This record gives sequence, C-alpha cells and structure tokens, in this order.
Amino acid sequence: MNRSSQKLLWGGLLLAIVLGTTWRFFPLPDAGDVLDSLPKHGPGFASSEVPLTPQEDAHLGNAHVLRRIYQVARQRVILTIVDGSRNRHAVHDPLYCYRGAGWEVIGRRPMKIDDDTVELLKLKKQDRQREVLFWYSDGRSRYTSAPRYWWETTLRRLTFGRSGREPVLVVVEQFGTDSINWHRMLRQFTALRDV
Amino acid sequence: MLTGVLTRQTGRSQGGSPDLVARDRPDVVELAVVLYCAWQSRDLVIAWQQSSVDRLGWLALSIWCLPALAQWCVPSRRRETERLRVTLLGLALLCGVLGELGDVNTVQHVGLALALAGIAWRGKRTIPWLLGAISWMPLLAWLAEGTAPADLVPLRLGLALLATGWMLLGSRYRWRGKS
Repeated sequence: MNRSSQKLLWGGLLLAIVLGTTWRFFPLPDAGDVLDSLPKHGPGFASSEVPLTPQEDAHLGNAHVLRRIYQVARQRVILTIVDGSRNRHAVHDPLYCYRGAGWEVIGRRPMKIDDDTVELLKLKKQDRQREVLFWYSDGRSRYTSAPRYWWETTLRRLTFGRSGREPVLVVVEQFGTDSINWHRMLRQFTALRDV
Repeated sequence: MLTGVLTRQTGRSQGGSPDLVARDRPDVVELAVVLYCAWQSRDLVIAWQQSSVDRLGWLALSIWCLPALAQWCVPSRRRETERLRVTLLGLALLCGVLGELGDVNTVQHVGLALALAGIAWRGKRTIPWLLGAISWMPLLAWLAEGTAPADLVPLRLGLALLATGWMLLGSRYRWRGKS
C-alpha cells in the first residue's frame, strides 16, 4: 500500500477513535420521568416492586428499568418498562429476545390502545405457555416495529436528542398461569395508557 | 529455481523476492483498522455466549475469516486493487463511527465485514463472500424470525461454508513454493 493511502487510513482511524471517545462526553436526557411518573397504586390497581436478578442487572447495565407486579382488579400482570437512553442494547426486539431465551412464538395478534396498535404474543417453552403484550412508546405514539425504534433512537443520538424523546419499551406479561383478559386489563389500568 | 512466490493462476510467476512477498501482505494500518472494527463489534462475544439464536456464530466467523487469513499465506497481486481496498477500509471505519455514535451494533458488524473484505479482496468473487458475512451476525437470527434456534446453527454454518468455499476455491489459490 502506498504512503498516501496509509496516511489516509491512519488519519481516518485516529478520527474514528477520537469521535467515538468524545461522544461519550455528551450524554442525552433520558426518559426516566416516564418511568417515575407511573403510579404504584390508584383506582382499581396496586403494585409491588420486583427486583432484577444479578444476571438481568449485568445485562441491562445503565439502562433505567421499572419492573412491578400490578394487581388490576382480579388480574395480575408483570409490567416492565425499559428506558435505553444510557444503554440502548438493553432494549431488544421482544420477538428476538424471547426466542433467544428459548421461547417459541406460537401466536401473534395486534391489539388497539386508543389509535395505536400494540402486539400480543403467545409464547411456549417446553410445557409452559405465556402471553405477553408489548409496544414501544415515544410519547407521541405507540408502535411495535423494532426497526422504527432503532431508527428513532439512532436519529436521536445523531441529533443530540433534538429529534424527540427517547422511546421506551413496555412489556406486560401475564403473572404465573393466570389467563388475562387483556382488553379489560387495559380498560381498567388507565395509568398504563399514559405510557 | 523456485522462489516461493505465487500469484493468481495466470500461467505466469511474478519472480519471487521475499521483499515482494512482504509488500503483498496486509499493512500494519490495515490490521489496525480490522482490530478497531473487531473491538467495536465486541458485543458479538456476548451474543454468541448468551443467546440461543446466535449459537456457534463464532464458528461461522472463524470459517468466514479464512480468506482473510489466507492473505498471509497466499498474497495476491494487491497493488492493482489498492484503491478499492482503501475504499472498503474507509467504509469500515465509517461504519465503526456511525455504529458508535448511533449505538447500532449491526452497523459495526458490517464495518468488521468490510474491513476483512478490504484485506481479503480478490476481485468480484469477493462480493458473494462478503454477503456471506451475515452468517455470523445476530442480524441473521432477526431476519430469520420464524426459524427455530436449532435450525439456525446449520443455516449459519452452511452459509459460511458456502461463501468461504466460493471464495477460496474460485480464486484458485496456490500455495507458496509450488511450481
């Protein structure tokens, strides 16, 4: 390789390292207020905190995570909300994440919350089954497209946060083996509709 | 007398001084770019260890890398492709930066693939091999959404073997020292 090509590449490499290093000194505002504003109890619902396991803590890193068991009338669900502002890799496409954890997706169904579409998954692992409702929320709309999440968060980072609020991932799982009437749960758990 | 230097199969030998062989090997800066891109793609190690849909991705990468490693054993006539290789390595750096700034692992994986392609380039045959890089990326599991994790392993290894075989056999490598 001739000298000018070598210099060009060395210069590019140095620039890449400098940019990547200095970028860390510009942290973005996070979506912690979204998690903090979700009430622990209210008319028709109450909750208890669920601590993360050490493995989950290690995987999630600096991501801001809320996990609670909510009793909504006679139904119980586990609610997890992940704000990936400080660790975007803590937020995976649930379809990829559950498959990676050994679950098989045996059914998928769209559901409506206001004018937005969220997704209900039916999962199976050996002799266990589970239903999970999930969506991403950027404060303006809810959606289930992982590429849209990646696009919005990438754009947000490249524009120093000017493109909008950090989207959060909301995952609602049935608790234990209790079957859930999801429409009723969403009607009664009004605070969740604000996320 | 054999001089131990080989080129692509053209029926001509290049005359084989050790200096010529050394110049045809990847430069330090090329290796540095590959190392930078590999560092940027370090999340792959965690994915391979922890995710059932990414199992044996490390083996797929090891197979897929063989043409780049072969560049040490069987240097090609690299001067004629220098501009293209510099472009590939530059794109690899760009992917590394964009992946870092936008925090997108897949972009960084693409950067690593481009960096290795810059090392291994041997003409148009390299393009299918480069596309075969998806064999070791978590992106494959995401694209093959309906595929069972157990079926992803043969898919990954099959793609890696196909891409690498295409590259190694089709480029008609000859080992050094053989007349």
